[in-house]
Amino acid sequence: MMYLQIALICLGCFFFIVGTLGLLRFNDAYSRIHAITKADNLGLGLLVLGLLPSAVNAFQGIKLLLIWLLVLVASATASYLIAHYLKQQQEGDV
Amino acid sequence: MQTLNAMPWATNFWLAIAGLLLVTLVAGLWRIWRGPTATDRMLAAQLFGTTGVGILLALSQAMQQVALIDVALVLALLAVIAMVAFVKRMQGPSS
Amino acid sequence: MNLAFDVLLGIALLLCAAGVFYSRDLFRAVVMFIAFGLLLALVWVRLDAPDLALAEAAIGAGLTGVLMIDAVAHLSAKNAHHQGAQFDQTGARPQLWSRILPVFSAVIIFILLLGAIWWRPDAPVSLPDLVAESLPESGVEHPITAVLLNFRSYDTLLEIAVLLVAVVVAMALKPDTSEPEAGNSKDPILHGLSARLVPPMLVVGVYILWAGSYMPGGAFQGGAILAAALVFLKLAGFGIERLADSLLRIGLALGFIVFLTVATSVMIGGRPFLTYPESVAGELIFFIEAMLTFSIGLILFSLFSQAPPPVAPTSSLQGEQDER
Repeated sequence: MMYLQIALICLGCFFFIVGTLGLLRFNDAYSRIHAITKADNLGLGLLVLGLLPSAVNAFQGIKLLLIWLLVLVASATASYLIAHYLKQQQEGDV
Repeated sequence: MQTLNAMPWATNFWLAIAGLLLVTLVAGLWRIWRGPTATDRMLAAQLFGTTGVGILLALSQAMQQVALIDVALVLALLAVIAMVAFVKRMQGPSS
Repeated sequence: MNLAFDVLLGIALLLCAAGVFYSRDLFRAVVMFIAFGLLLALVWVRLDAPDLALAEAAIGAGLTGVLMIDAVAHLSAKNAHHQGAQFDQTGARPQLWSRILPVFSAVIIFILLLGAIWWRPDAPVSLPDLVAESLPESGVEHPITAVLLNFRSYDTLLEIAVLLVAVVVAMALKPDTSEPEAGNSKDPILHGLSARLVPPMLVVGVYILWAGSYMPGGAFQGGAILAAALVFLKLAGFGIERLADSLLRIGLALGFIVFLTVATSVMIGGRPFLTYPESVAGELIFFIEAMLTFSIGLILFSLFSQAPPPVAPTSSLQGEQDER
């Protein structure tokens, strides 16, 4: 169980690092949206999974999962909004 | 089955994870500074929200503070609002 | 490891603060400030003050960011209207005295703070012990709530009064010609998001309020979350101002009125101002806190909603959207 936890958490951290790298290295905002939403949400999900066995009780565990779910919903929508906004802006410029 | 927190080095492990995430956060500051557009800056802020939740969860284990999960919950709920405000209110020419 | 993390956090905080101050682009400063709020929440966590971290996460990450982005949008719309220029604060060079004065006052404050640390009273009263000692009398289990709502409730009462005055001023400054937010709604996905995100926000707000009696949480944090939910609804294009307006007049003052009523009505029983009878202290505190949450939520929301919607320089864009 412990090794599984460590593996999950380290993998999660890896995705966080990849996400930040993407934010720093990608060339335009559209690609950066991919970097932060996909990589980071996956990273957070793995981190939450790794945390679950250490949760004090079931209530805390459900709360952890809820946090991940909320972040997923929120950031998926946020990335849609920002991509839509970018597209609108570019069409406005033309 | 032993969980991670039974280990004597668990606290340091969680702190190291939180520190690693904090490093990625500091690296993200560079994107806020450079821009080049307002959108890029907001994307970095979005990243900060997710990473901040991760740091808080790791710290909740490192410090054995259950209340920090609540802080992470609040952050997860509210981090998106700034983004919505940005999209709704900055529909002018980009700065 | 503890030290390493804290040093890293401190450096990040300073970098962020420098980023706010040295940035000429107003929007960059705002985003830096949002990041600063997040880091500050982490600092409160490390200082073992989860209550403050909760408040900072709700206010700093949620509401302040929205208010500031709103302000920048107003400024840029205004500038675009008047001269087609971007922000023009880069052009103005500050006078010499306006540079010296802040530095001077900062140095004075720094020296005073240093002095305050240096000449501490020799035998300090251990306040945490004092609070822990009388916690059973307070009616709640969480020491912070006990201090805020019972031992030092006078301060909290005045804080609510200050918030109330602030919002009255904001309402007085509101221009009469407030048109509804035009063409800003009808994004189906945003509507979907608000349908999924606002109910959990309200539930979490109430949960945080309830949690305040035995763990970090309380009226202020709960109120901030409630306000964020209302702000979200407004941004998503739901016309809640009309609903809120009738609610507002009752709601804004309700917390203060209830608090003051309870505070004075205990005097009938011969007690001093603001001391609750021990047997019902827990219930009274919760009742006051619930009312306060409601009021604080409405107050913080109306600080946002009283500002007029920005003068949209994007009428062409909006037209395009309608055609589709």
